[in-house]
Amino acid sequence: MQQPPPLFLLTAMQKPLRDAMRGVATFAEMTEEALEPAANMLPDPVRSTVRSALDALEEAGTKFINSSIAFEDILVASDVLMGKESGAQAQERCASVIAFAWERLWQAGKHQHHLMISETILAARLASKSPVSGETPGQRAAQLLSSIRQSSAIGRAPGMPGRHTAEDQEVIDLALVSTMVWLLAARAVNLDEEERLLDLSSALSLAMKADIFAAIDDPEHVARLLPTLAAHL
Amino acid sequence: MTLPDQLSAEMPVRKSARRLRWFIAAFEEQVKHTSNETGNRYSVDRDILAKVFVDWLKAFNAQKPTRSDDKPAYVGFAAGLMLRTLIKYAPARAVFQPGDVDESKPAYFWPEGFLYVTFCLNVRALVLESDFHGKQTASDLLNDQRTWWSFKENVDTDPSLAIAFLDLFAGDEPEWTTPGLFRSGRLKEIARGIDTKERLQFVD
Repeated sequence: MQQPPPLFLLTAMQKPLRDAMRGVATFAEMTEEALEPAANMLPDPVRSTVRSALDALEEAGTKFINSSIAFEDILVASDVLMGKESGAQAQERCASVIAFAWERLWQAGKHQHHLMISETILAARLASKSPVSGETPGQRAAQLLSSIRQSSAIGRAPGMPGRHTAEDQEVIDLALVSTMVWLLAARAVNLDEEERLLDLSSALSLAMKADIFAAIDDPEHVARLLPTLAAHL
Repeated sequence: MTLPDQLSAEMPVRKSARRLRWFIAAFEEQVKHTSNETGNRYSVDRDILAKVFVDWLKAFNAQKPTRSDDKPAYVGFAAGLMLRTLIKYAPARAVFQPGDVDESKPAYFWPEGFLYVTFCLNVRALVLESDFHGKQTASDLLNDQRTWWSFKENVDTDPSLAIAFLDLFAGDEPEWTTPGLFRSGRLKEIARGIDTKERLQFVD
């Protein structure tokens, strides 16, 4: 009997393709929302058809981008963030872990769907800042945070209406700080516990948001704040 | 009940308790235990619990003593600060209470307050016992209806009185006038049973 062909591993997709699928999922969801007021004027069969098509598009995109990471990827990402590791492969794994964290926080309703992350740009930003001798983990993480903030690695999806707002930036900053604090903290014992720790890091950052926003534009202040928060996670 | 141990063998419980992961695990363990014991059911908002933790940590650091002698007494004070913060932010809500219960009992008179008090007393006892070889002897007032009525009324007006009430429940002498202020050099009843040498050798 003929065996079915091996299943294509979605997690093995290349970064740019995952970025493209993120765009598809974001576009579908935003379009559905934008059409919501007009949808009521359409006859039911048309309305249902449009909605089903957009839902399918969104589901397909989301399914493809749900990054699957291994526990070891988190260890590597943590090393990259602390300046212990700077190889290209490690930086790419770190970018995947940051994207994973972003998506998890998104699914938990911690930020809005019109913002999109690009793993490709993230990896490039991580590669653009080489570790400096004598740099502390906090300083290294603050440098990378600043570099990512100044890039277009996270922002409004191309083609989406509206401009990047101060509120968008706060959402991005909180998510990035949550991720950095998580990666700087003492490691959990397995992937499930790591995911739980990321959720706690998000809750901690939310509770500290006034302090975070006050510090965010000052790398020296951020370099002190990140390890302090990580020590209390 | 079993609260989580310290996060690592090298880390004392009082330090583990200053980590959100320990704090939330301990609180959730307390919720489970109290639910099993009383039949009450609670819903807990983790984001609010994180706010409690941050607010408590700031208050904790603001008055943290430098003298080793003060540290055991500060455990009691810090537990009081925690109770004050839990009452202020109210992260737990009783969503179910069994029928036909004696509402004069603290667990049913004020289910959330009972949860917070037992949590703070348990953490307090755990830190005293594991880090300072001390022992906490809870007061009979912990089950006294009038004391609980007074506790609920008073903390509603002045949340800092939660610190004094926790001392009362723990069998210590409460400081009613300025409960939110830790007094250095105050050798409280809490230090009873703690070996002096151990206390002097302790370095944070």
